[in-house]
Amino acid sequence: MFERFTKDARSVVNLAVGDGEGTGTVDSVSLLLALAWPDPAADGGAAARVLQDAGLDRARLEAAAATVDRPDRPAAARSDGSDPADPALDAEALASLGVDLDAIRAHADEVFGPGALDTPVVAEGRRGRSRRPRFSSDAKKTLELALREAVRLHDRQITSAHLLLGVLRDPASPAARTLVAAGADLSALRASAERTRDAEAA
Amino acid sequence: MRVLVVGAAAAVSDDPAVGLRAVRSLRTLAERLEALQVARARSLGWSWQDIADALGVSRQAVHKKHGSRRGASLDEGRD
Repeated sequence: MFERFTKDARSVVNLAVGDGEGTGTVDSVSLLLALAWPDPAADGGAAARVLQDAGLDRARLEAAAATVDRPDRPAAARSDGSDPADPALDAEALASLGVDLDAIRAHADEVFGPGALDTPVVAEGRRGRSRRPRFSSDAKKTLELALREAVRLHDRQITSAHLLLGVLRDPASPAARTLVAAGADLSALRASAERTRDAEAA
Repeated sequence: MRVLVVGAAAAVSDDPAVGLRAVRSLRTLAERLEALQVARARSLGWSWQDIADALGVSRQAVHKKHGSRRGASLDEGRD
């Protein structure tokens, strides 16, 4: 689906993938943070300029992202009661079956050495073979919306400005909520991104 | 609230969300225990065939799955 992406849009996606490697998931916030990353190698980074002009640099967005719930990222702080150190082993859910994870962990510590049970198996979750993180549904949606924005605006190519428009199109996404948390005016950003896109397309 | 029931007297839950999470965790748990047991059996000198018999799978399957993992024997394919 990336054939119509310009070089700067591709480099944004690559940066987002790099960001997602730590957690195995690229979500819409990963894409937003990548958009805020001025990449001199790409053609100026249209979206980065739009964000910068609005006073939204990467550091500020990162700080805002930390305050927003990112449900697709199996990150540290989880409020649903699962073990934050290991979201894949849900002590509470296992306990509902009468399985005592602590007892199993104690047994594993004894037989295999401390912490043995908490080492993920390489191929776990069937995504182990490729190291590339997966795209969360909201990241996919952002890309789809960027494509739709390009179609709506009769643009043949998808630039980073279109990706930003994709982020702005869904106000409920974690990325849009990050922008709001950073004090952004979504409709002003949208207008500015559309203008930049005009200049690029011309 | 749900956090409160963790521990000895966990409530029986009929919530599919909890049931599905439990299934997922069981699967992960089984995978991790399998990897640990296989690595330990190898280090104790078990052959891939012995391990495969114990797990009820083919020797090829167990070797393919665990042969390249850390702790597994380096002389793959020979035994």
